[in-house]
Amino acid sequence: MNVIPSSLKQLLALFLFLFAQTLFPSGAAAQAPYAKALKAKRGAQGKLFKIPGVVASGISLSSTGQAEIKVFVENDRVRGVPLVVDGIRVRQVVSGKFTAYQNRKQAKGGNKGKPGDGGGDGGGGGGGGETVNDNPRTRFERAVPIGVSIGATSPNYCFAGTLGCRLRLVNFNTGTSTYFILSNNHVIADENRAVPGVDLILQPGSLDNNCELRAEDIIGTLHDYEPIQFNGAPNTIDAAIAITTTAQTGFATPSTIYGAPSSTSQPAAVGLSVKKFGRTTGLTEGVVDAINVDVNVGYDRGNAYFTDQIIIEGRRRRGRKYVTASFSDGGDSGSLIVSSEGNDPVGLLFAGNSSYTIANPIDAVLNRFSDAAAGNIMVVDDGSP
Amino acid sequence: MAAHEAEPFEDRCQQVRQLIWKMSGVQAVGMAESGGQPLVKVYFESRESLEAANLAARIQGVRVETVVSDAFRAN
Repeated sequence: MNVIPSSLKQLLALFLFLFAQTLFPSGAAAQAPYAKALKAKRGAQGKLFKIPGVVASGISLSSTGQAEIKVFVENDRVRGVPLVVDGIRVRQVVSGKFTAYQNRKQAKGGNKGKPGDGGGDGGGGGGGGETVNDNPRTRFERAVPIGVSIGATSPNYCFAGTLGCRLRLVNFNTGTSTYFILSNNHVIADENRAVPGVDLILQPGSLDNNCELRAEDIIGTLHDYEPIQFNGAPNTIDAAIAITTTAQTGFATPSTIYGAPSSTSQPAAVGLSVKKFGRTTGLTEGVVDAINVDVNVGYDRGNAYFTDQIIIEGRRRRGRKYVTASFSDGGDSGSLIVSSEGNDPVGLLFAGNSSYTIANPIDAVLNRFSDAAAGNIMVVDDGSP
Repeated sequence: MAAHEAEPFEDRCQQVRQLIWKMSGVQAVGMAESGGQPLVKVYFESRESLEAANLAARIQGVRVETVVSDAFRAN
C-alpha cells in the first residue's frame, strides 16, 4: 500500500489549514453569523434530536444570505421544533428519512463483444486493417488502443473500467522514456486495496471477459496510485498508473475514433467543448459546465470529498443544434477527456450520473506522477519519438 | 456600492461557496459562467433539497445558479 510522501503531507496540512481559515476566518464579519449559527446548532443538537421525527440538522442560508439552522423532519406532522435558538432563526424542512447511498461499482451492461474478436489495431491504436474493431468492450490485438475496457486482478468480483491513455515518463537527464497506462485508482487499484508491483492489469476487464482472469490478457502491472481519502479530507485526483510497454499498449484510439491525444494539456474552461472515448458509451461529446468544483462522490468504500474538479455536461448534435445528452456511464471511469479541437488532454473521468460527469484536471494527475527534482516529467504520450 | 462589494469578487465567491457547501442536498459547488459573467453553480441531489435550500439568486453580490444533478458516484 502506498504511503503519502512527507512533502505531500506538508502540502496537505497546509491545504487543510487554509481550508479551515477559509471556513472559520477570525474577524471576518461576513461569516460571523455562520459561526454563531454553528455554535447555536451544536449547543441545541442534543435537544433537537430528541424531538420525534427529526432526522437531521445543519447550517443553511436564508434567501437574504443570513445563516440559519435548518432542521430536517420526517413529515409535516412533526411538532416541537423551536423557531429560534440562541437568536438564530430555525427553519423546519420536511425531507423524509435519509438512506445510505449505495454505490455500485460494477459497470452496466454485459459482454457484448466476443473475446478475441479484436484485431487490426497496431501500436498506434488502429489503422491498416480492412475492418477496424472499435468496440471498446472487446479484446484487442496488442498494442491495445486507448479508451477500451481494462480491469485488474485485485477486485474479487467482475469489473471493467477504461484505459485512459498511455503516459510517457521522460527523464531529462538520461533522455530515456518509460511507459504507463493511466486510469483511476478505483479502476486498477481497487480503491487503495491493490498492491503496486503485484496486481496486474488486464485488457479487457473481467466484466467483458465472462468474469475470467487470463494470463494472455495482461498488459501491465500496477505501479503507483494516489490513495483516496474516505475520512472527509480533501482529494484532488482518483488516479493510478500501471507500467506497460509500447508493444502492449498503444497511444491512440481505434482509428475510426479520434486518434492520438495531444501531448500538450489544456486547462478546463467553462464552455470548452470536449470529448472522450470510453469503455461503455464510446465516443461522446460534452461541454465544461463548471470548474474549481467541490464535490462528494460515492464509492464502494464510502463517500469521498474532492476539490478543484471539473463538471462536464454531455451533448450531441441534433440537426444544427446541440441537445443535452449523457457523456458517460458506469465503466467509462478512467477515460481521458480531450478538447474537441486539437485533442488536448483536459481531464481524467472518474465519476458522474445520468446528467453530469466529474473529472480530475489532467495537470494535477500528471504532476502527481512526475518527479521534477529527479528530472522525470510525465506527459500524455502522443506517439512522437 | 454595497458594503460586501468592497471585498474582492473572488473572496466573496469563496465565502459563498463555503457556506453553500454546508447546505443539505448539495452535491457539488463550482464556478461557471452565463452571458460571459462568472457565477457560483450549485448542484443539488434532488428537487426537494433545492427547494428546501431556498437559495437567493444573488448572495453577497455573487450570482448563484442552481441545478438538480442527482448524487455523483465513481463510475
